[in-house]
Amino acid sequence: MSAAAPGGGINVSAPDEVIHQSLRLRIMAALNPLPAGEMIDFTRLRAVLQATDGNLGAHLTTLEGAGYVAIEKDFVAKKPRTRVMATPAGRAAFRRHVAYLRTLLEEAAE
Amino acid sequence: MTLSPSDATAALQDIKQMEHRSALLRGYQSASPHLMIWGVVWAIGYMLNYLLPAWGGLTWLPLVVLGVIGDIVAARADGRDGGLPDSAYAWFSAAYLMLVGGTIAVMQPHDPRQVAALNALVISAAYIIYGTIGAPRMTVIGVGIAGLTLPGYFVLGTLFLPWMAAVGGGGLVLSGFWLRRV
Repeated sequence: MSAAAPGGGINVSAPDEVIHQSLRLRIMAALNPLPAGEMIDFTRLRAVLQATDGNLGAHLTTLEGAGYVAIEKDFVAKKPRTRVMATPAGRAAFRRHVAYLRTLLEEAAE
Repeated sequence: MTLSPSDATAALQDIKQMEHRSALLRGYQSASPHLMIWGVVWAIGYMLNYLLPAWGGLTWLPLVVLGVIGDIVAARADGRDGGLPDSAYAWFSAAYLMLVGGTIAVMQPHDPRQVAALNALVISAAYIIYGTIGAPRMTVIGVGIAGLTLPGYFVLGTLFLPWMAAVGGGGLVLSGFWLRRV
């Protein structure tokens, strides 16, 4: 996994192994444009990603374990609701991963 | 884990597509309540124009004020600041008022049906233009409103105002629901 470099710079020397998996990458890409702190319903996120319930749930659990997303479960009108948002750590990790991918391409072009 | 440049290219393409889709759908979601609010304003306003012709444009004043208040409340609920919902909305409103108000002042229409048609066509044009720069559902909505307004104006005569209440106002409300869908 990539990490913040000493001194607060961005370490782009390695990919983020949590984020790089295809669906997790798309989850983070879908959450990233939303305003900071805004949560999105699980069902809406599933539709945005065109993913299945089980697959999305499993990958969200992995991202939550890494501290990249926050998941809130509550009840609205007696119906269960699950909402998701990217955490500041998740946004930073996503930015680092994108920077790594760009650096990789730049180095390949040289 | 090592990645090849082709992996990186594919991943960046995936990211770009997903960020675009997410931002676009988020934009539709934000626009949705505004279309619903103005759909209701249109429905009530045009029906009042039809039922109370002597009141003329006066019926629109409280409705427009309520519409603007509704816009501000919807923008706050959406997480944007109060006051002006956002600069784009403020510019759109100013341009709309200038275009419709200026055209009315120049052309001096004598029939409320003309004002109703002008209003709908200006809104349609704005949606179509906005849609062509990356929000295709807005283009569909603009074409739909214009496509329902013109035949109604030329065919329905005195029933044009209730037509605009039903298909203009109702159309905007339905469009708002459509924008909420992923």
